[in-house]
Order: sequence, then structure tokens, then C-alpha cells
Amino acid sequence: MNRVVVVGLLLCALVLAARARAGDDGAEDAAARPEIVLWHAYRADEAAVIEEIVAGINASETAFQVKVLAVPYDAYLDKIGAAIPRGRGPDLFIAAHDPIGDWAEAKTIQPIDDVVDAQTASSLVPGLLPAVVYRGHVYGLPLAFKSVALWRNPRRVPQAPATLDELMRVAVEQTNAAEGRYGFVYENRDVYYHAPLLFGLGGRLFDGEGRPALDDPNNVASIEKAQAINAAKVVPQEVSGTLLLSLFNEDKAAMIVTGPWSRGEIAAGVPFEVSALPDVVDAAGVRRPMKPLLTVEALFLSGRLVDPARRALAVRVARLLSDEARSVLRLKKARQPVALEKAWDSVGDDDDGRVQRGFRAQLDRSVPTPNSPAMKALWSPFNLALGESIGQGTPPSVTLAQAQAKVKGEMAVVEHSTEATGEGGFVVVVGALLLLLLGWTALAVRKFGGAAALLSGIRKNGIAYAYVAPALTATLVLVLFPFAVGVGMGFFRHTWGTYTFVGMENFVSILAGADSTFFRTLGVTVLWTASNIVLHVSIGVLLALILSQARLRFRGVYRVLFVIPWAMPSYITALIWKGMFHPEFGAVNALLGIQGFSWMNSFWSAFAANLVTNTWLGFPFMMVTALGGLTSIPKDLYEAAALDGAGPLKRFTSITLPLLRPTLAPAIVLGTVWTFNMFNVIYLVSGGAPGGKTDILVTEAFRWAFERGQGGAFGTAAAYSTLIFLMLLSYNVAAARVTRGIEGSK
Amino acid sequence: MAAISLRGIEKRYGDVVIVKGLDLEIKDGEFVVLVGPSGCGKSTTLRMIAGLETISAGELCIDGQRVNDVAPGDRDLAMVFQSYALYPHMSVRENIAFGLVVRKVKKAEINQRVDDAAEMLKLSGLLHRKPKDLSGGQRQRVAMARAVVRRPRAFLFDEPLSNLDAKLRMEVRAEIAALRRRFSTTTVYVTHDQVEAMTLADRVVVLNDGVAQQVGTPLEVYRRPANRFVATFLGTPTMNVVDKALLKVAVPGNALHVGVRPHDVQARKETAGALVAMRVEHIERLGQESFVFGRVGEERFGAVVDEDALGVLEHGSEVGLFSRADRLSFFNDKGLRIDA
Repeated sequence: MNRVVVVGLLLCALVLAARARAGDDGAEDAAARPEIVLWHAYRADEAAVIEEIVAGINASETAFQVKVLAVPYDAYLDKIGAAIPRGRGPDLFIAAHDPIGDWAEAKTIQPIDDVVDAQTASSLVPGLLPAVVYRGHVYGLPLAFKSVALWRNPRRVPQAPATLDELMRVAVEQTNAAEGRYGFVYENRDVYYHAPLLFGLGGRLFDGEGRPALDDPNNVASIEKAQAINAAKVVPQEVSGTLLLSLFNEDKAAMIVTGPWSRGEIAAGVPFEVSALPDVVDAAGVRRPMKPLLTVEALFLSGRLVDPARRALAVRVARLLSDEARSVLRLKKARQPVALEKAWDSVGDDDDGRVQRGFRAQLDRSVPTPNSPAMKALWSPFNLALGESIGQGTPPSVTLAQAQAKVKGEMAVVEHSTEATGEGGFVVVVGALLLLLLGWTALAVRKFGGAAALLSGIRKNGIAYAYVAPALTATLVLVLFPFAVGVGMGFFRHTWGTYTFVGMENFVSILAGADSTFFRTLGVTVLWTASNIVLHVSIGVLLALILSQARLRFRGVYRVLFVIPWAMPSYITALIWKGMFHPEFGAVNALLGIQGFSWMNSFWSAFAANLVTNTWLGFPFMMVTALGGLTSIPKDLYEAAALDGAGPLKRFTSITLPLLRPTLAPAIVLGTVWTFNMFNVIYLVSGGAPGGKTDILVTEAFRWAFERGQGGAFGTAAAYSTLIFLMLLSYNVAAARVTRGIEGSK
Repeated sequence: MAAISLRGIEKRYGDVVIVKGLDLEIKDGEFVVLVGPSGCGKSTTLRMIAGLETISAGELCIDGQRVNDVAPGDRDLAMVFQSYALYPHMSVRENIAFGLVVRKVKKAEINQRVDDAAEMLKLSGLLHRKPKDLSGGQRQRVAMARAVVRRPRAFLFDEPLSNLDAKLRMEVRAEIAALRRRFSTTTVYVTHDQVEAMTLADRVVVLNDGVAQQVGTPLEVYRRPANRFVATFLGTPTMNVVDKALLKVAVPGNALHVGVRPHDVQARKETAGALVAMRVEHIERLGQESFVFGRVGEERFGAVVDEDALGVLEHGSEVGLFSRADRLSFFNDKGLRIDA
């Protein structure tokens, strides 16, 4: 025992010493030469160019050093929102401009009116600056801009169409459903790709006072236009970015709508031209350009960067990154449409140059994505409305009215007006929860015979405790602590890294809020769980019965085959099934011999698609469990029953089922919990379609955390999770009682 | 109540023949015991009668009706399994009633019959219990009650006593005999225990290697074994069988061997006029009676000894062995019985 402790302590000391040394090195280096930290989320060429530029700066500058960190795109905004307020983030970072409002409010970034002075501003491509201005201050130094534009195959469409009507004429000509060819492919259920129509027809996202205005009549008109395009069948159903590019690469899409990021995914030898989207004429005869949403990639200075000397260095880095030579480098090598006007002089007439000029032309006909904090709340409801109108043909006036109500409802759930208590409050609540856990442990210890008994127990079984210690530590750190944090978070409201204590308000608005979808979602979840378990158990038991027949040949082979669905990672299976449920290219419709039936357009068919996928995933577990249970039933019971005159059905109901129950009951309890929380299938197969109707509680919690609110409605999501936990806990307690009853009767 | 007839019944698994052309006529109300060593095919035969095994060849008739392809439940037989095969999730009452419930007998009648059967088998106080809460003997009685309550055409017992200890075994044996007297239902009973065979049977069928060696009343089979297998399988201690040349006895015809049960041989001090003289190697004093064992030729040979009359024998003493002539059995070169 003593030796174990000594070795453990030595190990800890070594690790600490190593850390301290590493810290010392860093400190010395930083003292010698200040280090400016730059974050970006670029990949591939763009990342390589940034690394190259930084390497050049570090080689030529002696006063400081730039340390660059590439953060995965998906986690980027979360990391920025989490790191900077805690003083651990970058000095400056490159990001899209749309969260400026939130960041400015949370002081994650700082105004840089002094950096983007009149001279700098006039050196930029016109139209970019408004995107980085929030409440009268400039917050970002534009580096590049991105928007979608019209890509066409010049062999199919030699001339860029000037109007949408012209485009549609060409598109209809180029469409041949029998050959799987389409004239005009764009992601027509995604607001981002719908935006050109919206703005082209005079639609808007916010009213004059900055309030959401989803139900604007022109927005309705824009979706009606999209419905018309969809009805002309020039767009395949359920377009995704992958499908769009593969159609274009196979010469099966004459025109597509996408951005510069797709440039690298166009296959070699596929001819293409990029030009601005055409004009559209509205019902009143007014002709306007189709304007996509414009994203400006800009450099931001951390709100924590206050030391003037250090800030000056960061500004210097920003200027270097955006100077002419480096802008040309980014334009040429990373194919970025850069913000510096002068760099465009270098654009030649080669392929890249023509593409660049296409996007440049689109810039003049674009709308900067609103950078107001309210923008985030719009996306998901607007997408759902658009999806429902395109998918099911529901009138957009109806879906947009619902979306408008939903945005307001969600804002009401997220935004309560309670005084901020800051992070201190969070610590207090989590601390209280941990204390509760400790108290509970203390009670358990008392039950065990008090601390003295526990200590003597530890002394006596020292080695055993030493073996258990790693697992115990891991459980504490990986399960109990996050659990306490999660439960605690449910009592807070989160806005871009700031937590505000709101007491029970999250729970109240979930359970009693007028706009809350909680009970509907709970109903779907219960239906989902029940129908899954019924299918899993009945299919599993049926297959187990077949596989347990001694007469069956190749039993082992079948057993392995049936377990394969279980052995595959569930998200891969889910993605495969999603592909199979595609209305035009999916195997399910092909096998059923139906054309173009869209599974995701109605609740029941989308629910069925989810159910089929999850049943595929879920029956093997029940089958294996049932097989185990079946082998433990003595054969002579069946013989006795046969002599008693019981037929196969009676033998199954009187012998097999009751004797399988003790084995199946725990499996059913487990399966219920897994299915209740089956995130992958719902999120990946139906994605909640249509209109979030097939979402279950756990995907809904995810959406609160990552798709709604300001930087994530973590509080609401945590409250959701706590409610889910409480429901499953009570289910388990009840189930344990029933199971004990069954086992008692065995 | 039924007569069961087996005509040329065979059971094969691939090339392995378990039961070879068995012929047996079981009369209505008769108690027939199938006895033989492990693997002789006795359980397989019983299971074919029950319908739990298919019949490879031959014909099985119950009351003159061919039932080879009739489902077990439709043969109206009741079976008591070696393992009892009680339904673990059902109470004793439900276990006993199951066969009646399946046959949709009226509820009141079921209750009446279950109560009767339970009373008969002293299970009345145990009806609400689960099998796991019963002793081995009680489980055995539940299994019998389950058979009795059905009032089947015949009872089939598959080594029902082999899981019980010696004392219980005697008790339950008596109970089976009592049941038998009460119902006089046709019964086929499989055992490897010759005492059960002798005490319970109207007729005994001795099986070996899937062939019926002898069919007869217990006394017939005991007194007049049809061949050397039957002679040595039944009876404790085992019958002495030695070459005819070793004994001073007149043998009929072409007999080669002479068999005589130790109980029928008296050991005396004098050797004059004895069948043969033997040196005592081993004495077994069972209290009631004592046996002496030695060798005649190469064969082990046993005899009864009356030490009260004779005085205490010692190892190595020479004894003369005497027997009544009518207690001798003679076997030819094929091991078959030759009658004098």
C-alpha cells in the first residue's frame, strides 16, 4: 500500500515539474519577444497561405512573433465565445462578420475605428465596410468577401442569363428527368441559398426597428417564386451541397448556385463559368437583381487586448496581413476574393481570374448578412418554413407566419430580464450541487458504518482501492462533475459566454411557456421510443426463435450477419439510410417502385424513415439477448407442454415469453433509454423534418444549445437535459421495481 | 385406458441405430417397465411412444390406431420427466392445471380435479408455491399430479426416481405403486434400476443395444433369464456364470455355460457331493445374510452362507457349493438359454 502511494506521488510530482518547466520556457521566450496569437478556421489552400504569410512575417519582423492556431471550423465560434471572455483566447482572429453584434455586446471584440481609418476604408472594395460596422463603430478589418453566385456549364449555357425568366427557360430546356439531368440546381430549402430570391423580390429579414419580419409579404412572394421554380422540376428534390456538386461534375446540372469554397471540388476538365445571379421581375413589374447574402471575412481584435503596446503590435500584424503584397498572395494562391481593391489589378484572364471576376461582379449585387444579435434566432425557423413550403407545398403565408411566431416565442424563452450575477453565481450553483453530491456520499458512508469504518476498510483493502481509484477518478471527472455543471447550467441564461442566474425560469418557460413545444416533443419522443421498442423486441425475438432452431443450417453465419448492423457505428448507418430515403436517388423508392416520393415531407413518413433506420440499428441487441435467454430455457419444458397439448403458439406464450422476460426486461430498460436519447438517427435521417416535427427531446435540447439563442441557449438546453434525466431516472426506478417483481417470481 | 403396440419400431440417427425393430404389445391397464443399461434405447423408445421423437420405421398403435404421425398433445398420454420439467414461472396449482387449461376444461372442473390430485399426492398445502420453493420429493409429486390430473390414456415415466435419494426413492416408489392400483391406467416406465423394475412391473422388458432381450413377468425374467445378458443384468449380486466343465452337473444338449444366482448357492464346510469346491477370498456380511466370494476357474463366484449354522468362515477356507438343480440356467455358445 505504502509503495503504491509513494509511486503515485512521484508520478504526480514528475508531471507537475514537467509542466512548470514548459511554462518557464514559454515565459522566457515571451519576455524576449512578445507573441501575438492569431486564430483562424481556414482549411486547405487558405490555411496554407495564412501559414506561409505568418512564416514570412516572423522571418522579417524582429520585434514580435506571430503564433498562428488553426481551430476546426465547427468549433470556432464556440471557442472564441468561450476563450476570450476568460482571457485565454487569441489577440486577433479571422472570422466571418455575422456574429459582430453578439461579440460587440459581450465585449469579445473591440472597436477599431482607429485602424480602419478613412484611408484604409477607401482602399477597400466598395460595399464591404457596412458589414463590419455595428452601432456606428467599425469592429473588423475586412480581408475577403464571400457570397454565392451563378455557376454554369458553358457548353450547356453559353450566355449568362440576364433575368430569372431567361434562366428558367434555359433551365427547362436543359432538364431531362429521365436522364437525371437538371437545369438549375440550388439548395432551395436553405434560407442562405434562397436569399437572392428574397432580396431580389424586395423581401427583408428585419423591419425598420430591427425586429424580425419573416412574414413580410415580399418574403411570401419570394417563397412562392421558389415554389414555382420547384414546380417546374428543374431542381431535384432534397438538394444537398454534395448532390449539387456531384451533379455538376457529372454534367447533369447546367447551372448551380454556390460560393467560392466549391472551387476546389469541381472535377478536372469540367468547364464552368461564374457570373452574378440574374435579375428578377416582381408581380408589380419592378426589376431588381437577385442579391445573395454577403459574408465578409475580417480581422478582429480581442476585447481583452487593452495593453496599448501589445495592441499596437496586433494592429501591425493586421496591417501586414491585409497589405497589398499579401492580399495578392491570398487572391492568387488561396483564391480568396480579397477586400483590398488594388490587389484586383493583378487578376488575369485565366480560369481563376474569370471566376474571381464573377464573384466580384456578384459583390456589387449582394446584401451583407445582418450582424445583429437577433439574426441567429431567425435561421432555424425560417429554414423550417422554407422547407415546409417547398417540400409540402404549404402556402408560405402560413409557414412564415408560424416561423415569425416561433422566433418570437424562442426569443421569449431565451430572453428573460433578470439581473446578471455573472460567473460567480454559476460557481455557486455548481458548488451547491457538488456539495449535495458530497452530502449524499457522506450519507452513504454513514450507512457503510461511518468514516472510521470506511478508513479501516480502505487500510485493510488498500490494494483493491488502488486498483479502483483510476476508474473512480475518471467517473468523478468525466461523469459526476460534468453532470453537476450541466444541471447547474439549467438555472442560468447564457449569452455569448456570459451566464446570468435566472433560477427556475428556464424550467418554467419550457414547461409552462405559451410557445413551448416541450409537450408535443415529449409526445413524439414517447411514441418514438414505444414504437421502436415494440419493433426491436418483436423482430429480435422472432429472429432469435428462428436462429435457435437446431435444424437450421449455417446458424453461425446468420447470427454474425444479423449482428453486423449493431457493430457498425450508428451515425454511418444513419447517413446510409438517409441516402437510401432520398426521393430521387435513394434505394428505398427504387425498391418500392415509387418515383420521387419525399419521405421527409410529412410527419408520418419521416417518422417511419427514422423508425426503420433505428429498428435496423436496434433489433440485433434484442436478438442477441433473446438468443441467450432462449438457450437457458430447458428443452423438456417444451416437451412437457407439448404432451400437455399446447400447440406452438401456446408454448410460445406460456413457456417462451414468460421465461424470456427476466432476460429481456433489463434489455428493454436499456433499449428504452438508448432510444429515448437516440440523437444520431433523428438528427441525421430526418433532421427533425418536416419543420422540426420529428425532433425528439434530445435533438431539441441540442438545437437549443447550438442552433438558437445568442451563442447557444445553453441554459434552456441544460434544463431540457435535466428534465430528460429526471424522466429517465423515474422510468428506471419504476422499471427496476417491475423487474425485481419478475425476477422474484422466477 | 389404452393398449399400446409397438411393431418393428426403429430409431436411427443417420447411420446409428438406437432402437432396432422393437415389437411389444402393452395390454390395456398393464404396467410395463423398460429396463436396461445406459444407452440401450429405453428412453428413446418411451419418447417415441410420447411423440417427442419421430419413429424411423415400424408402427406405433394406441388402441389399434396408428399414431406415428399424431402430435404428442393429441395422443392423450401423460409423461413424468426425469427432471420433472415443472414450469418455473407457474405456481404448483398452475403447473398441475396447465394441461387442463390448454384443453379448455371448465374452470370449476379444473379446480376440482387439481384439488383432488393435490390431495392424493399430499400437495394441498403447497398449491400456491413456485417449484423453486419445493423439495425434490415434492417436485416429483407435482410432476405426478400433473400427469394424474389429466386422466390420460397412459402414463409414461422417464426415470422418475433417479434424482431422489435412496429413502425418498422408496417412498415415491410406493406412491407410484399405490397410484397404479388406484387408476389401473396403462403405464410405461423407464428405469435402469432393477429394483424398480422388479417391484413395479406387471411385465419387464429388458433392453440392450436397442434390442429387447426378454419380455416377461419380473419373476420369469429373474428365474428364467432368456440369455446371459438378462441373467447378469438383473439380480444383486450378479448371477454366477461359469463353464459347464467346472461344475459337477449334468447339462442339457449343447449347453456351454451354467448360471446360478448366489442366492441359490449354499456354501458348506464339506465338499463331498458339491457342485464345486471354492477357496473363500471375500466375505460380505449384510446382517440378514452373508455372501462368500471366490473364484471358479477364472470366474468370480458367489454363494450364500449361513454362518450361524456353520461357524465363522475365514479367508482362505475351503467351502463346498451346493444348489437345487431347478435353480440352474444353461446357456449355449450364443449365450441363449437352453432348457433341460
